[in-house]
Order: sequence, then C-alpha cells, then structure tokens
Amino acid sequence: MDLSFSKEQEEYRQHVREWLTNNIPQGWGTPEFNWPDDEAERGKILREWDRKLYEGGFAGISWPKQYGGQGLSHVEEIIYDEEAGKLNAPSGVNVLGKLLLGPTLLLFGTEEQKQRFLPPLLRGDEVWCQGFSEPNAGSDLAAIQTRAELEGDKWVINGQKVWTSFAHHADWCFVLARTDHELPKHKGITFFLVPMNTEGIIVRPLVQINGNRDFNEVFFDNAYIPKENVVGGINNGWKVAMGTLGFERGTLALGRQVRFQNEFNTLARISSSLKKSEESYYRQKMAELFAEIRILRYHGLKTISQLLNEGKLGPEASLQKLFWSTMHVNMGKLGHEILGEQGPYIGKESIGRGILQEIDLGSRGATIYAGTTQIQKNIIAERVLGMPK
Amino acid sequence: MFFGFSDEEKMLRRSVRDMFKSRNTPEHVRAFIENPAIPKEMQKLLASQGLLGIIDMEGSGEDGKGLMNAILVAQEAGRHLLTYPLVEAMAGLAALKTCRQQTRLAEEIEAGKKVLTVAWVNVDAKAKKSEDGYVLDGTLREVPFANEADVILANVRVGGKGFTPEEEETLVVIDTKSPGIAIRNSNSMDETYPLYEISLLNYPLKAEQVVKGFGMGKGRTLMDKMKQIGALLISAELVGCSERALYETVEYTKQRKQFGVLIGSFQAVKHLAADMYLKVESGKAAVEYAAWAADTENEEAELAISIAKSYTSEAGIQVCGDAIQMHGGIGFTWENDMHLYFKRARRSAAVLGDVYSHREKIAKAAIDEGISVQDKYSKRTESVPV
Repeated sequence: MDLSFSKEQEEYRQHVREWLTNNIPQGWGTPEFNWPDDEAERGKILREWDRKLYEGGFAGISWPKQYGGQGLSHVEEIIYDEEAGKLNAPSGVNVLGKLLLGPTLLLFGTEEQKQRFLPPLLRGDEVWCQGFSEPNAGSDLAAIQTRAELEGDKWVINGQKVWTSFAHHADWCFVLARTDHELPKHKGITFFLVPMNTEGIIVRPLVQINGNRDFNEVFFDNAYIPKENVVGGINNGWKVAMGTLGFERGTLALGRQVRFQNEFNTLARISSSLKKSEESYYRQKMAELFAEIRILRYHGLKTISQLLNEGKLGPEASLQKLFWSTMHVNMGKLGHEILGEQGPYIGKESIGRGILQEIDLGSRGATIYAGTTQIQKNIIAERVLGMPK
Repeated sequence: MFFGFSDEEKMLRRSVRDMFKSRNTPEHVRAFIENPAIPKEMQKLLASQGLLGIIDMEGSGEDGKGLMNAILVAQEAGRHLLTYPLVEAMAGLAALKTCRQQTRLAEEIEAGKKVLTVAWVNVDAKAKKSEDGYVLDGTLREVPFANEADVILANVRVGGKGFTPEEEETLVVIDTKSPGIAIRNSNSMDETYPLYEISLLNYPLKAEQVVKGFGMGKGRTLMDKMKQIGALLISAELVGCSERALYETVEYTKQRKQFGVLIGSFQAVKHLAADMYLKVESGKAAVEYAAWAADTENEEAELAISIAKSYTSEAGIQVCGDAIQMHGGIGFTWENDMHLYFKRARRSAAVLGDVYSHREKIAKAAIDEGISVQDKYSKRTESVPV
C-alpha cells in the first residue's frame, strides 16, 4: 500500500492547480456567476471552456500525442480531475466525447477514424452526444429498435433515441442501431458515427426535474450517413458498446469524491448557521454521511489502482456507482432534514440559494443514468457473487 | 500510488486463512461454546506462526507499525470465529513491548506460554497505599477470556501520581492466579468470545507489575493507543465475520429451491446480497485505509479508525442479520451458524466504542473543526450565503 504520489506527479498537480486558478471563469460555481438563460449561450460558454482546456494542455491527458492528446498516464488524468473537483471547475460540454467516445475509438476505431475524429474532439471543435437509450430500451439496452439499412454507399437510419444529453449542442452522435433483425438481439447491433447536421435528424429538448435542459429526444427520419461511419465492424456494436460503458464506471472516482466533499462542507456550514449541528441527531447523521464520503475516496483509490495495474475495470466497478449514487441521495435527504420547514423554498432569497435542494433533486438522476441502481445490483449479484440468472 | 496488498501480505492472509480453516472449524467453535477452554494447540499455533506480537507501536520501517499485517490476521480471525483473545493479545503485547521492565512477560506471551487479555473498561478500580506498596480495589469490565487468561492488562488510578484523574491512570499487569481477584462471567451473548467482569479486593500490586511507570499521563496514553489498535482490529474482525456470513448465504441461495427454482435467481434476494456485498467491501476499504493511516502516522489516522469502527459496526450487524433472513427458518435455529456470526457482530459493534461514540468523534472533526477539515479535504470553499 502506497498512497503517495511521486515528486513529478506532485509537480504536475501544482501546475494543474495554478492553471485552473488562473483560468476558471470568474465567479464559476457560485450563485454570483452570470449564467445566461439561453441554452445556446450556455453551450457556447461550456465549449469555450473545452477550447481553453485544450490550449492549456488538459484535454486527452492520457491519449496518445499523435491524436492531439498529452501522452501522459492515467495518474496525471486522475490528478487533473481531483484538482478540478477541488476547485469545482466546469467539465465542459464534450464530456461524453472525452469520457466515452474517445476511449472507444482508441480501442475499437480504425487508424483513419482515430486521426479524423480525435483531434477535433479534443480541440472542442466537434462536440459529441450518445445515442444509446430508446423509449423501449433503457435498462434492457439490447432491445433497441432504431435500425440502419445499407442503401448503395450510405446507411439510412430510422428510429428514436432519448435522454440524449447535450444533443442540442452536439456536432456528432455515436449511435447504436439494429443492422440485422434475424440475429439474436445482442448480435444484430452496429455502432455508428452520425453527423448531427444530417438531414432527417430532429432534436427535441426535455426539461429535467431540476429545471436543467441537458437532455433531449433525437428522431431519425431517413437519415443518410456515409458507409464507412461504423466502429468495430457491422453487427459487432454490442461488444463495442459494452466497452464504452465500462469507461463510464469508476474512472472519474476521485474528482467526483472531491466534489461531494465540497458539498458536504456547504451542508455543514448551513447546518451550523441553522444551529442544527449542535444537536446530536444531526451530528450523527452528518458524521455518517462524512464517513461515507471518505469511504468513497478509499473505493476510488482502489479502483484507480486496479485501472493502473490491470489496465481495465472488472464488474466490481459497479459497486462504486452504486455506492456514490446512493450516498448522494442520502445527502439530499439530510440536506432537507437540516432545512426543515425551509425546505420548499428555492431561489436567490432562500437558504444557501437552494443548493441543498439542487443536491436532492439532482441525486435522483444519478441512481438511474449509467445503469440504474437495480441493474448495478444485478451485475454485482450475477457477475461478482455468481448468483443464478 | 497503489491501494492494495503486496505479495507478502497476500501470502500471510492465505496462510492464516488456511490455518484457521482447518484448526478453528465450526466444530471447534461449537466445542468451545460447550466447554469454554482455549485449546492449547491453538495457543501454540498462533505463537509458532509469530502472529501475536506483530504490532510495534514505535515501528517506522517498511511494515510501519505492523498494523496492515495485523488487520489481515484479525479479518481471518473474524471470518472463522476464532476462540482466542487475539485482539487483546496483539494490542496488549504492543503496549508491553514499549516497556523494558516487561520484556520477559512479553516474550512468554509471544511464545504462547501465557495468555494475555485486556480489561477494556475500568469501572472504579484504583490503587490505595498499603504497608509495603499498593493494593487494588474495584471493578473492571469487558475482559475477554479472563477465565482462561494468565495475565490481564488494566488501567487503574493511582492517587497522587498526576494532576488529574486521567493523569493518575497507570497501566498494570494483573495476575489472575493471585489472591484478591474474583472473575465472573458477564453472560455476553457472543459465546465465541466470552466477556468477564473482574472484582479486585485488596489485590496486592507490586512495582514490577507496572507498565511504563506510575501515572503522569503515561497509562492514559498507552491505553488510548491500545484502544485505537483494538478498535481497528475489531473492525477488521467485523469485516471478516460479515464477509463469511455473506458468502455462506450466497452459497445457500445457490442450493435452496422454492417455487421450483433456486432462490438465488430471485431479484429480491440478489439485491439484498448486492447490498450486503457493498457493505462488506466498503467496510474492508475503510479498515485497510485506517491501517495504512495508522502505520504511516498520517494525521487522519484517528479519524480513519473512527470511520472504520462506526461503519463496520453498523454494516456488520446489518449483513449478519440479513444473512439470517436469507436463510429463512433454518437461519433462526441454534443448529445453523448464522446466529454465531450475528452475535459476534453484535458484541464487536458494542465494544471499543459503539457506532454512536465514534460518530460523535467524526462529527467533532468534520463539523466542529470544520474549517481545518475544509482546508484539508478541499482547497477552496464556495461562498454560500445563508
């Protein structure tokens, strides 16, 4: 067990911290930040941040240099993420591109695809969204009905995707579509790269329970795309998608943990100001929550060690998602207990300007996206504990 | 950056597990419950494997203070419901070894010639002056295996040896064969690890029975360290105990059929098992981190131990209780082993600081000293007006 970083890594941390301190937009993360109401304007601000990150050398930290990355290791990526968490830095608009598509292309893409798509992704010139879920294919992802048929040198896509985050800002979408109806459901799926300006694609926004407008429905009505926009081979999309989802679980562990730690500090401050933190009941519950946030860090360190040593994560990574998303729901509940009868009031005049209520509402999404709590429990029971299907 | 075990540590875990698996079987445990005598073979085995004296409070080498190794052993002890005061032997020996005067006794214990236990709670035992030194009077509680032990480490007040009652506390070695001592079984529900109460009446205390000298805060400091080590080790025991209960239960769900199918195929059962797994693994991570923090004298060590003890105490009871539930009716019977794990978890959770007291310690660090915690755990705090 050695939880220290090398001298070079500590120097890198210092470099990241300095750069972030000098570059994070003024007032970011505080209620003073001037956040425009218009979605397109918000998208511009986030894309601006993606561009700044690229110029600063913090895009694709562990990706090879020939594709625009920094050619460093996962450790530097983790350090960046942790420092960004501490300073509550924005994560930009190309999260799905960086977190999911990039690693997928590095693993399954052709040389041509890597050269074509990775550099503009990192530069913030091409923003990506993820076209996986459908109205009738959520937890049962392999039940997708969106279909793609080959017509001459084009694929023609028809169907509907949903919960498509950032589709309204995106230039490209990575899409799962059925290419063979005869094969068993996991085997007839292909992974496509689709330009969002293709004729026949319509994006309709959905408003979330916290008022945010991150997600959308995306409709494909005879959308024609080039024949070569396939990743990992025709009818091999399920394998590619499972690789993609593997990246979604666990890698951002420490950065996320630090953000939760920041939220706890806010919660503790509010509870002190409301004189709740002197009462045993709240002290006990806050201590319990604090302990879980620290344990999340220990899980994160374990996960990262596994990633560094074995190069991949096993089904155990489901534990981390289950742990933090459940913990965050509990944080939301405790926040409301502390607010008591002040709970319903949000907005600029309210206690903490509604930050505890935002935690409570926001937490309800995380137990659903990236594999629901129930799916994570199935994965643990079947693949880790070996219980029968 | 590596959170995990070295090959040597894995080897130690493997060999201790194999040893307890064959030498501390459920049959051994049941036999101990019928006749609570520590088997001589087990005592010899623990000594010959060098497992008793592996903690060095002053250690700073590659193995730190030996706590990482100690938690691996304690985890296996919990897994196999070891019927030996291992936590007390490890924590007590660590304290004895800091005192040159106790070298011989420490060697005898380490060699398995004597059994050592610790009185974790001093109700009112104190020393008073006698003609040729001191005598002890009063009651000590929470003394595991006292009936089988040769010596008991206890913290007693010696008047005039400090400026406060705490400072007067003095760590002493009590000989169970001496006159002036009465040992009474406290009837703890966990019969795999019986607890005793000690009454001292005119027990003659000799100067050579004192560890590190009289009072002046030394006894208090040593006992606090022992309790921290004890809390960490018993957290590790809780992890092992609940992990065993979990995996035995999972095996059962792969054999037991209802409605014509294995009960392990029901989602309600799977989800409960997944929750148990999450609790076991989270407790494990907390214990491992705390051992690392204590080994490296990290400033978080005390907080990390409170996190580990509070988490594993609550989780251990939950997991072992769910294990009974998942077994159905058979799980509620004396013949099934699940109640042994459950009761061991209950006792372990209650001693060396319960959930409430450790959470209060966490609250002090996380809320009351909030400012320093904020600086420590996040470099910048948002200005949220309230």
